[in-house]
Amino acid sequence: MKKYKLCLTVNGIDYMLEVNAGETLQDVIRDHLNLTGTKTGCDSGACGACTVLMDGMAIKSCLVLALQAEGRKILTIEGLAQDGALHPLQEAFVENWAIQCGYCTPGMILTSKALLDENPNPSGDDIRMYLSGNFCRCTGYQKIIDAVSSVRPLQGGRHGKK
Amino acid sequence: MAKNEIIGRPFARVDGRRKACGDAVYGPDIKMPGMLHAKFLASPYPHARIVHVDTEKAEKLSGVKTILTAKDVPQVCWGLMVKDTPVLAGDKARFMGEPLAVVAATKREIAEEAAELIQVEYEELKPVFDPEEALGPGAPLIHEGAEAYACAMPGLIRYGNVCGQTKISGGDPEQGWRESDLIFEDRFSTPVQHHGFIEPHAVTARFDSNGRLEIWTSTQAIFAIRMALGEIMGLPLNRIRVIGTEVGGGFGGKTDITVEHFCALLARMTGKPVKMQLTRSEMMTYTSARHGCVIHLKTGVKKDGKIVTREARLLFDTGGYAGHGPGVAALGANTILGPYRTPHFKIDSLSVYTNKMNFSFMRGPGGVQAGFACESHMDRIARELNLDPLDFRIKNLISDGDTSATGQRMEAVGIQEALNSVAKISNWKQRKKSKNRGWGLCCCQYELVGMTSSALVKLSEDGSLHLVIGAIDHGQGSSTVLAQILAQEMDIPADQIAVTVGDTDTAPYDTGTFGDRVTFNMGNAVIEAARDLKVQLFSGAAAMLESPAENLELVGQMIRDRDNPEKAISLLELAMGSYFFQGGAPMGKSTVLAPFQAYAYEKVEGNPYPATPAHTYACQVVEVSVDRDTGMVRVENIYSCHDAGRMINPLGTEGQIQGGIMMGLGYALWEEVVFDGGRVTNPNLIDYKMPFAINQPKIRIAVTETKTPNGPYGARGVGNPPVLLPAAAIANAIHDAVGVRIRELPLTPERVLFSLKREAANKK
Repeated sequence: MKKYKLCLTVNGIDYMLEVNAGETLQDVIRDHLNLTGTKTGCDSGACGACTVLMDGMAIKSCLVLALQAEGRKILTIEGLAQDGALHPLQEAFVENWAIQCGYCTPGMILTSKALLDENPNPSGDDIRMYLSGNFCRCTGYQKIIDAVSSVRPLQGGRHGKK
Repeated sequence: MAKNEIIGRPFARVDGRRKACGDAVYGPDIKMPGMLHAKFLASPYPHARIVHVDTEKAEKLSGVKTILTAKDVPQVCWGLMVKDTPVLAGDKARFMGEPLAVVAATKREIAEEAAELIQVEYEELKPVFDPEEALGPGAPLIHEGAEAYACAMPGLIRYGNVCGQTKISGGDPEQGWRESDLIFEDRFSTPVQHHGFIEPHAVTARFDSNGRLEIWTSTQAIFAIRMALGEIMGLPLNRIRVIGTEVGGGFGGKTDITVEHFCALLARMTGKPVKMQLTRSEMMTYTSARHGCVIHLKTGVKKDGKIVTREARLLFDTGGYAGHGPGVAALGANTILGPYRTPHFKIDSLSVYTNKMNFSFMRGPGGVQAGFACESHMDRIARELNLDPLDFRIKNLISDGDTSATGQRMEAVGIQEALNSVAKISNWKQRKKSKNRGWGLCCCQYELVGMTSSALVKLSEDGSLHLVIGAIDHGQGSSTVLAQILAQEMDIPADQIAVTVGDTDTAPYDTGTFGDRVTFNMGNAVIEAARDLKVQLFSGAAAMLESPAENLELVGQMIRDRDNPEKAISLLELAMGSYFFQGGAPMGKSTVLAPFQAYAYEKVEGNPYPATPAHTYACQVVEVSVDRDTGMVRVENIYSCHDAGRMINPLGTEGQIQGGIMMGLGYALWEEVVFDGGRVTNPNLIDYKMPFAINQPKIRIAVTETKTPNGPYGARGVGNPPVLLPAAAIANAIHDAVGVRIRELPLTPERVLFSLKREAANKK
């Protein structure tokens, strides 16, 4: 099978890889780079478990072909904590019991980050709307909404570093 | 009781950080060097004789390592209740999606391609999809020779297409009908619900050169998996090590073998590690789901609203194999009277084979179906008697000293207080009625599972404590709750306790994570293990302190003499001393078997779950608005009250309730695995509609605490009842809003609209 060169940045590290045309960004992240914090749930863009940030935008990595990520900057859940300090959203998810089985959590946290980067003071309904591409079968969403609501912007309207 | 009360406080999850950082390892994340990938070939027919299987073409595909068909695998039938399930379908396929062959190849895509190259000659047989039809004369028999199957569960009633039947009676139903002023009859039907956990089933197996099987699987019950593998593989259990990965949601759907045996057999055959991960479509056509059910109810009442008698018949469609069907039918039977005093009754609940996938446990099994029927029926009776639905229920509510359907004496009945509480927070008596808006009420009495739990508490050299258990935390938060219980017993901050969920080699036995049993039963085991450890510590310290052991207490990580507190030794010193002078630090251990409860055994037949160590209770009020033009139902408010016995962790309790309500909401309004004959037409998460955050109504929760004598600190499970409530509460609210009673789930706009049209046509 023909291999194609792919250059992309994941969590601040530049990679040069060889991929098949049919491989998705999710395959690259999970199988090539062994970053299994990005979960796999439905392979059809329905569940949101594989959400990562591509140039700051929350995308479902199972719906993006690897080669479409050429030259892009990807942030996965592994890249969110800085020097052992959790991102405020990660802290909030832990503190608020917004995590049960945890399988939707990486996607939920990254989608929430994209939301807060766009809108630092979202209402409960803003959060509900924004997270409505990510399934959580355990929590019933309330504690996730509580967690995201609890994160208030730092100076300058940003949340944490990154 | 310790000074620093830990029970009832909102501790953060012990596994929170690793899940928030993405380093928790789930089934699909397991990888091994040289690992092969497996795929199965599924039957394209719901009922067909398998005439010939030809794997020659598939075997020639480059990268294919081995292909197994029915003739290559152990000729055993396995099953949790009825041993009716072959490893691979050999003589015939009993549902569309049933595995006939498994392939191991170097790549997943190759395995998929090879499975498609296997050529199978079928001879189609007449299928049956409806459980009522499956009972009829002339219905095709799904298991010929079923009477020869062994039963894991004694006393099951089986015949024809029936693989389990629970019969319960009480009082004198005939007399009951004579005494009744009014008789009500209803038929309800409920859909198949997909568990909808986000993590697909994923299993990796390998054999080492000593012939030992190691298997990584996302399961709720490592020991149950080991047991089934032992039977299938013909291996002694000490040669099988089942390692539970983190579980990305279970809800009953990961309690049993799904593809573990395929991976194990392929690993034995190839000598390589083998991984199989299911696609969503395979999950929705091959693994289990919630039973669809048809329920007939007939109830006789007095004019004043007192229930006199009830007859109930429940048909659970269990699919091609029994699975937990006989148990689910029993739980339906046990739940169908609700928390209401019923002097006379006759219950008949069947688990029936059809040509569909094998339905099995799903959160609140049996109870969810029975709860919808019972509480909708109760609402209808109240309306037709012109009684307030709350007053009608209160008039018939059970209390301590009454008996359950199976004749078990009820204690710590929490329904009264829960009902009062939900009436209060919903302001039921002052509820405002406006056009096309309505209110519905629902009660729930369910039961939890006891069985066996064991715990090990290890004291390390530095005095730190380590809890080792074999009960999987599949998200509900048991590991956190159990750490709190150990902390409470040892008077140590909860965050200083480490919890290890071990594998079948390292952890002591536990029956599994299901049926609201872990906090309840493992909680008791942790208390016992802590007490066992303390006895040993006090005996060691007694010599050092020259105080009698019975005078000693453990406070703030110091062991001291109650009468002479300056005589004290720290846990650290004692631990270190034990290592040097007593040959190692002590270990506390326990095995707790939940107490069996007496029941009216002469009135109960074929019921594998005739009694419970504790019942569970909850009530709910729902306010809806209905759009008469579109049939769209909008749930405006949910008020829900749940009896926790004793809350160990309020965050965990609320999480269980909120999550359960949303799963129940999905069941009520949208979720249905749709069958066209034997084919699932929506085997994906786009066409199968689960609720997103945006579908969340306003939910207000209250928790009552009626302590149960058998639970740790009085706690009982709270995971299942939340799912039982929304369907009936919403259906009842729809009736209140627009006057139509819908007896079939889900309550889709089409169904509501057609009911409204039918109602309007009937009025003309």
